[in-house]
Amino acid sequence: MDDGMGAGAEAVQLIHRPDVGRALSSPAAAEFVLRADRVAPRSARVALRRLALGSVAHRLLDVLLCVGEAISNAVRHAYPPGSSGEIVVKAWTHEDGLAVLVQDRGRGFDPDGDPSREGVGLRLMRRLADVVSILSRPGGGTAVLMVFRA
Amino acid sequence: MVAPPDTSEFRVAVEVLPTVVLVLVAGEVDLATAPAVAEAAHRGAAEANGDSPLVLDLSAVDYMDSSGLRMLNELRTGFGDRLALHRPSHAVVRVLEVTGMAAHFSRVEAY
Repeated sequence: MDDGMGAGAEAVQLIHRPDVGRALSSPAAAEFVLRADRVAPRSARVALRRLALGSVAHRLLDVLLCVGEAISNAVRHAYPPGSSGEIVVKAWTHEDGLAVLVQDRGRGFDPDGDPSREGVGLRLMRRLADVVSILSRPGGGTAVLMVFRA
Repeated sequence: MVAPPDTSEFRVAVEVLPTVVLVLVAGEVDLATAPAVAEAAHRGAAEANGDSPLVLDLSAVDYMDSSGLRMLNELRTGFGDRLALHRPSHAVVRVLEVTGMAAHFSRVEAY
């Protein structure tokens, strides 16, 4: 699966910068793996609710919406119908807010492609999150990093 | 800050009234639950006579995402002017406004 996680490994390296890495070791972090099915978005929202309340409570609805959209996109687009792929979610709080990383090992896409063909979910994420960074390529899985400032 | 209550369980109900088909939705409308709302709307419309208005009461929806919006757009395509939203909750209005779709849906105060 070396190929499949290429994009993800790159993203993890990025967030291990010293200032962010400190927050990773704090208890205010969550990491879990979901099966890519229709209830995965809700599972992620439930799992991250407490973390979001503790860091970005004033924009809880928007944060959970973005998390739901990122997971929904992975469920809808990453894996062929009928296959049982996985979605890895990592989230951590920081004094400046909350970061959420959503990774799949699915078919990927070209993030530099035609923006007018972007789905509503991604448009919502770009509007509501302070940072949306996407690492993906066809066949190489997708990693979505979102940052929500406190 | 007071924490908002946990979201409630998803529920959908249809009432075929003499002059209107009413679809009542509560809880979270997302990838898992949006199809049930569409199914309820079509079921109610099929039971009703002719072209009764289809009113979605969204006052108790505490979460809706783009899956819910896609569902609403599909209903709008199918039912046209017959579709109206009743008291869309903050969660619904948020998605409609951020996506620029709010003006595309008519609203009714009473039914």
